[in-house]
Amino acid sequence: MPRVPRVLGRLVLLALTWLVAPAALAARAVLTVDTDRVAVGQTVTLRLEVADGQAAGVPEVPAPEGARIRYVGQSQSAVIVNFQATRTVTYQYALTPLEPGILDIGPVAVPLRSGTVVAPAVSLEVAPSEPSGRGRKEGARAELVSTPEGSQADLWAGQVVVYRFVFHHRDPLVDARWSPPAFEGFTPEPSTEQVKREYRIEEAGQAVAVHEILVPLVATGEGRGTIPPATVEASFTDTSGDPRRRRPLDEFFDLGFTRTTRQAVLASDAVSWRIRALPEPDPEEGASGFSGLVGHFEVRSQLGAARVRAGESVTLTVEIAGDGTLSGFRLPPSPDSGAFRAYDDAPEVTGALEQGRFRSVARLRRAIVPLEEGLLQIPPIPITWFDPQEGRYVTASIPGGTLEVLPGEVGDPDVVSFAGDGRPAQHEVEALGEDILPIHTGVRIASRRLEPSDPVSLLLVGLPGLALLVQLAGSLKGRLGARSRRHRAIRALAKRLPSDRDARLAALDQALREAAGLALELPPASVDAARLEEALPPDLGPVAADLYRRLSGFRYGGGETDPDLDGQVLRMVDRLLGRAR
Amino acid sequence: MNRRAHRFLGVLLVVLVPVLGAAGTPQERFDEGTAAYQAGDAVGAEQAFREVIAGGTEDGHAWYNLGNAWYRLGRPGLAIHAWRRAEVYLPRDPDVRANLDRARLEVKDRLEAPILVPAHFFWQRPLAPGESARLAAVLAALALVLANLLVARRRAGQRGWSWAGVGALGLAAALLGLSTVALQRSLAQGAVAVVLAPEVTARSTVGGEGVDLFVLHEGAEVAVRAREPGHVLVTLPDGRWGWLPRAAVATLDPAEGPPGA
Repeated sequence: MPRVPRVLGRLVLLALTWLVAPAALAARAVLTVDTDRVAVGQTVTLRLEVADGQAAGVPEVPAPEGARIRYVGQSQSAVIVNFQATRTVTYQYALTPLEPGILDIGPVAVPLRSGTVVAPAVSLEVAPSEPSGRGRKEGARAELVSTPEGSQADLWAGQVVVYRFVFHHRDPLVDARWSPPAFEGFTPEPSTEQVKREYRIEEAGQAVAVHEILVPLVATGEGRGTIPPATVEASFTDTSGDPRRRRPLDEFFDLGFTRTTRQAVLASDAVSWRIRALPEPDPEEGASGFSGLVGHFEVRSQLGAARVRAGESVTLTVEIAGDGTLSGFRLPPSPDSGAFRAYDDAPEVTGALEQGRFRSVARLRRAIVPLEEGLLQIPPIPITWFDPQEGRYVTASIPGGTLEVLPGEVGDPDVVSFAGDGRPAQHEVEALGEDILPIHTGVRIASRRLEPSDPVSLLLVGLPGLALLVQLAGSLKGRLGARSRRHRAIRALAKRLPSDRDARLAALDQALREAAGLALELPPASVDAARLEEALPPDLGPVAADLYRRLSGFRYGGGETDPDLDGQVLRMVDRLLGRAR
Repeated sequence: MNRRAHRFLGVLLVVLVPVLGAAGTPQERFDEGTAAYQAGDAVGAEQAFREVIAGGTEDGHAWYNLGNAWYRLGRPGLAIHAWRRAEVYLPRDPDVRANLDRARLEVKDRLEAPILVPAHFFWQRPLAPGESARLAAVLAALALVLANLLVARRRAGQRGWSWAGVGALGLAAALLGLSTVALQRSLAQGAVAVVLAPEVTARSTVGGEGVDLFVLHEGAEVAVRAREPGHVLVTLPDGRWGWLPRAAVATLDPAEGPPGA
């Protein structure tokens, strides 16, 4: 990403802020990202919070080079503290880095209805790709984070690093039990507790919950070593459920309720480290008074007053902030002087993990009691620490300052009254409140709970249902009875067939005509082959006509009959009678 | 019956009659509750309406009035819960909706209220479960009567009527029945819950290893996706989810009864 245009852009925005600040004095805007580290292609949520200001439309967050930003939606909240209402609108964007490196987003100018407010920039570290877990339902990994550039396992003794254990999952978590590894070669940083945080990313179009456990450690060992794998025992609830076990009704009405819980043990890889002993301080570089601090620090000081009476105290406040541990640090003793005495308070040391990095602040107070009137030159205080980023000792000098020591009297303060200044007493008529609507009276109550045994519904469905069943049973019984009677009649006909050929053919012809007459609702005498073919359905007519012709041929033309002619005629009679009403 | 038995019966009557009279029917207790509310006695009204519902009378008006009593007692979370229960049985009542809208303005968390089931059909929103079940029964009965007529005509040898009417009525009855079953399932599963605690923190797990994810305040309405003993997994409209203590929320499950005040 080009450096110069970005700096120019920031300068322009700062100038813009300065110009519009009076118009939007109360409004504030903050840009935040859920995490400080993300892999290429993963999508994290970027939030732009606008407090006490109404944006003119959805603010546009320009995508930096190597990233894509898409507006997702907005939400709002209102908080009242000490009768002061704060309304915050949070605009959410999906941020997808496309290139590895450090990604700077913003500053963002938010146009308001009355002016513009600027949200400061945020930075995000983009890893080349996720080392593990891509596409898997859950996974875990661990690393040591020590510098702004990211993970680094090559350390100096005394340096603070953050052990970062990350596990991700797609299904909702029911419970998780983290087993930290033995941090051999390290001791816990005393001013800071381990931090757990959770956020969501989007990976390959699917939401993934990511849990981070950050443990600040001080490197105390020497040589090479390994932090063994950390494990997390987790149980998950599968809200999507097994598709094979979800019923269509659940799918249709989105009833994804399930009680299925599944156990899993996720383990990270071991993390290797190398800790080097600090080099010997070189007195020629002014590093003789090594304070024991290891890190990158900034120092500033402030004298509580410029004038003080002799014998009274003034406080010199020294604030040291940096990425190394400050626990146990004390200011070097003040050189012996007959002009003043110095007394140190107990230092206040606070540590915190900001954006995944360790940061510590020590506030040290030294009471200076001048003993003589006149100008007192408080000597500067040198502090030497080892800077791992530069790999050398660094010495800073805390300026002591000049104090005018004078005897003097404290004056009485003036009392100023603003009562009765003639301002108008009228104000707008305020609404005192709104109330809910009154209760329901004069209504008849009854249980509206839906019972499967609701008698009205049962009667409504049961009575016609029963009647239909009775009707269907009767119809079925009638059909079965008719078929049975028909079969009995055909069997009797077969038994009664004469043995004489001509008489037998005449009887078969008569039976076929009568059955066809019943099926076609015609007199038997008017039945012939053409009518059979024409009036009967296609699946029956040609067959019946052919049989009729053959039977007539045998009867009137003579010749040997088919051996199965009786059976063919009787089966046709059965089919024709089956069609008869 | 001897004199001692008479005396025993007399004593029993003297003891039982006032007790039974005080208990009253659900309708009488409901009317007592409305009278108490109108007299400014929100505590007495709340007690009466709670008794009516706890006694098994799952009535929309009783829940609505109980919500009003809870609102008067400064419990907006309980009031929203009661009005959502009332809304199930009185889906077309404008009072219920107006009071819910009014109370939701006081909730600190601006969350879109979750719905019990997605409304795929036009009748799902305006019909209470009992109404849609009865309507489904009526349509099914019509379909069966029509089927009876058709079968009777066929048996009599008459043809020509179509079964399409039976099919259409049967399909409508089946869809109504299915949507009613879905609503009942959603209610019974407690798929929607209202936060009753003044403030509750949703955590990533039910155990001690989790982290605090977000804070919800009294009256917030959330969708419940899973339950574990002592906890419920809730989801927010923006997709976030977290575990809440079961005691901090009340669901719309009809089997639960009114939550403790």
